[in-house]
Amino acid sequence: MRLLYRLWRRLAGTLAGSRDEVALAEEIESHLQMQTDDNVRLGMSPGEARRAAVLKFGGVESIKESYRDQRGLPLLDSFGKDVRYAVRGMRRNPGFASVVILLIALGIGGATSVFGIVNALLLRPLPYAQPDRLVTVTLTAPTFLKLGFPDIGVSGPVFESLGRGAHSLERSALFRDLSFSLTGEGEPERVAGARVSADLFSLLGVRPQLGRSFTREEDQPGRQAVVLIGDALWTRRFARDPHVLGGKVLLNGKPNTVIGVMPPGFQFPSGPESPYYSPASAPAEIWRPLALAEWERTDIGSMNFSMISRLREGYSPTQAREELSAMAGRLAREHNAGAGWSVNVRRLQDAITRNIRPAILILFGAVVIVLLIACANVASLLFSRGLNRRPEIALRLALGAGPRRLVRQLLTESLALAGLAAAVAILISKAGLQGLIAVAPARIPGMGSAVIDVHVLAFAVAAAVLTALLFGLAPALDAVRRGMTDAVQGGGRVTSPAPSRTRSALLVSQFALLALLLVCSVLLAKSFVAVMRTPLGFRADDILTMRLAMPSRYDHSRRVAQIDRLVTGCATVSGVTAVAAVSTLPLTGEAEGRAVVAEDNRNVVIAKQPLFRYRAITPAYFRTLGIRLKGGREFTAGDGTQVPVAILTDSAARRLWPGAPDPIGRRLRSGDGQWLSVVGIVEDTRASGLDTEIRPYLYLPFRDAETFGSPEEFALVVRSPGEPADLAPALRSVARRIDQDLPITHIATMRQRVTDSVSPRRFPAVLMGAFAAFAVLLAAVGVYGVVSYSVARRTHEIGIRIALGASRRDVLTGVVKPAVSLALVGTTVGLAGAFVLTPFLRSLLYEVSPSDFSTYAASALLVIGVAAAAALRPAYRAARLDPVMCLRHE
Amino acid sequence: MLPQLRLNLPVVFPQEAYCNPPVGYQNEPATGKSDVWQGTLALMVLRTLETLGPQHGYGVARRIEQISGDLLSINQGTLYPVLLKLEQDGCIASEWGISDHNRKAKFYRLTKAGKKQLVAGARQWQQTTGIMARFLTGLTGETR
Repeated sequence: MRLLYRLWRRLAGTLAGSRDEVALAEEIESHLQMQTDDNVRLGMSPGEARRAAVLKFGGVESIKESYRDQRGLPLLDSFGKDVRYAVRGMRRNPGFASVVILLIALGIGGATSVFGIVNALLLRPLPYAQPDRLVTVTLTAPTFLKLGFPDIGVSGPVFESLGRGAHSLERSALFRDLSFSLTGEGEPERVAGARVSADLFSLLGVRPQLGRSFTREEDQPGRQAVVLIGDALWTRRFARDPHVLGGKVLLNGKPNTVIGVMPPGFQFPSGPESPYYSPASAPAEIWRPLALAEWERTDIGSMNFSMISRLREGYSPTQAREELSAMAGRLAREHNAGAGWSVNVRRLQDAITRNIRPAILILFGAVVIVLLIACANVASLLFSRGLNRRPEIALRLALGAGPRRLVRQLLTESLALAGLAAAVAILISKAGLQGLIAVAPARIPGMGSAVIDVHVLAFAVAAAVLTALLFGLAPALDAVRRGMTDAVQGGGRVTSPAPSRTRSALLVSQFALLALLLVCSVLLAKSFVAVMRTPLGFRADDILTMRLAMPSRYDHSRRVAQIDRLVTGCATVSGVTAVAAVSTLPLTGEAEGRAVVAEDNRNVVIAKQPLFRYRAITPAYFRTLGIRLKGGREFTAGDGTQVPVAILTDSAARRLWPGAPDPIGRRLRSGDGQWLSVVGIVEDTRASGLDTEIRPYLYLPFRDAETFGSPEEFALVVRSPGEPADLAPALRSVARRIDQDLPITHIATMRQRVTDSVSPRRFPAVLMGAFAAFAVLLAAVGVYGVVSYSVARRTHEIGIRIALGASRRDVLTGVVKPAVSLALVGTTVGLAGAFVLTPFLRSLLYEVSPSDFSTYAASALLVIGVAAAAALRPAYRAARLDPVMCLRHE
Repeated sequence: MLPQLRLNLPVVFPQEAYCNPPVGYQNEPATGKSDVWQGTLALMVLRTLETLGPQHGYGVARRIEQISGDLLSINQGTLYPVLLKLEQDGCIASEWGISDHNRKAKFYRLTKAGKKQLVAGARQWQQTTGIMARFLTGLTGETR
């Protein structure tokens, strides 16, 4: 407390300034006068009395100085003076100052923008109570791993055993996403939601803003006709009417009582703050009790549910994982459900950011490298300026300034520059963050919530201070050291050679960082090109897609009839050349899968049960999307009534009957369903994205899809040679005319879907490219600056060389060569660094090896090319110097 | 007592600080002051203000000289940083007034906190000197 008081008084003293100064002078004067008076009374002459008084008092100025030290904060005082001096210096030399500020501001601005995203996605805690103790629990088992599912959900019995018995978990909840058709008044709507166990909300620590949460009684089959609705839905459909409580809503045609409204922004589990988030699914807006049915409670194999838990205080996810894995293994043995079960426990935040963390961190690393290059650049500039300021520094040293004090002053100048740069950088990062959010893929959850907050500002300030030290310290030390030699030698003339070693090191480090950045950027660009070149398996142009949902009260034949009517209706819209319906669109995720049994040539059933995904389609599907038929025929309108048929993708046929020349006419079935004859083979299409592996698919006519599960949701694909997006209103009205209860969920052109599916790759590739381009520019400016400076200094020497007979060519190579050899050294270092670091990029690469030779070679050539090109202009000027003028120079 | 302190016992009583301040402080008066010297002087200032009541800087300096019998002739100016420090610590307060000889002067007076500080400082000082006295009993000036 005392210390604080003292500090405050001193701070006040610092700020009071001249007023105190006058008072001190007066006080000292009055002291001296009183002493003089006394001395006169003792018999001295007035002059003598005054002299004795002053002697007795001691050195007035030094006393004042120590008084000032006591009064204010001397470090702060001198810092203020240094800053003022620095600002004066900037005004004297605005060109230099603005170049430095611009370079550093761009560097810090870029880093701050990317940090804004790091902060929003990786650092900011989730909006739940004690979010660091929330974990997701998933199962892994070898059988599922083989089918391509590293992580699966849990089943009722698994949850019962793990959720209740584990010591490391305080409590657990279970949920499953579910979409509802919301009908009744207004437009029919497809609304995303979930079935959740009664205590999910209290587990997360979120309460309804209105009404109440579910009770345990409501979490029973038969009692679950109650719902909680989201804030957006409440606003959209109920105009925020509080009387919605107790009212009924029609979900899938059945009435449910609204018992509460969740707070704004709450979208768990399919909101952006969730590992289960996918951009294809809308944010959750309706919640119903889980109310596990009898078979869900007892069937250990239906891993359809997601589990979320709160760790007990003091337990880590690893400890929980060990305990739960042991329990899961025991459970599987008891139920005879297969071997090798184990459990993954991940913090909720890690689970959400698992897929994008590497990309974000790599981009952050890249932008920090750009900042470092900018620092090296500015340090070079300061070295040059330090040389010009040598006379001034020598003079100050000679007048008695301490070298430490001078270094401190030069550093303060750097700090002032960096401070201004940080102010500009914050403005830049505001725009930069907007830009990043705009180019970021929708698939990055929580991206939209990135803002410049206190943490981001603190980062910008810290970055400014660090960069000031980084680019300012070496030049300041160098300038003062050289100033001291000058002071000793008494020379003000700049004669000694440039501090070539340090400046060379700076150039080399710029080249090395540039080479590293280029390698990363080229690798990502190559991956992106490789992804874009992947054949889709269909023609994406001129296609409009829209997703719809059937009311669940419709039986299968009614659904098929409605789909037929829809397709016929849409075909009559002018401009439409082909229409088809499909249960799951390509590029929107994998469809559901079924185990399939195949029949061999000699009617022996093949025992293997590979998992096949299926799509139900109308006959024109292949024609509409332009999928090539490789054998057999397409479906016709008559298919799927008497003789059940199927069409296989190429890879599915090869997998079922490897080596068989012609699978047409063979049969397969799902489980105990009826046998389907294969009538055609078509090209493979990518189901969940361009960069995912091709999975075997089989196509069925909609009519036959019942044995595979009648699809509730489906999509229309419409080919139109004009602008397909213009058709949307007409198609909408067709759908409404045919059925009032068909909610349309998502309309997009196929081109748009292709773009969306590659955006997670385009984002890092584009950003990395932008950083690399900026780094190339920085390095070019750096080389140009250093080389032209050295040419200017060596004008005299070059003149002598030319006079003595050196050819223009000799001069040219003499200037360019050192720059290129520095670039060579830098590139070697940078490529070695890249070789070590690029394996971290692996998760972002597609069909490109992290040590791809051509990438390294191209990057090396580019760095050396940039160095040579930037050195060429000053070299050319040097070569055209007139020797006579040169010798007169200086 | 004083001659004994010419021994090298630097931590608590730097001999030049206590015995020979004028020389030591004339050479480097501005920044070289030791905290001990400042502390000692501060205690003397507080005691002076307690005995004499409100007093200006010159008066305090005179009083200290008189009491020490000119053994301790301080460089009067060094008093002012000490006065400022005491004021910052809230031990004394100041205001402008008129001296006995009709000179405008800044008068310092002891505050409550200053009185407390004086009592505490005096006790600490007596303790220290007591210990040192016992420690050095029997030692004469000639030992050196």
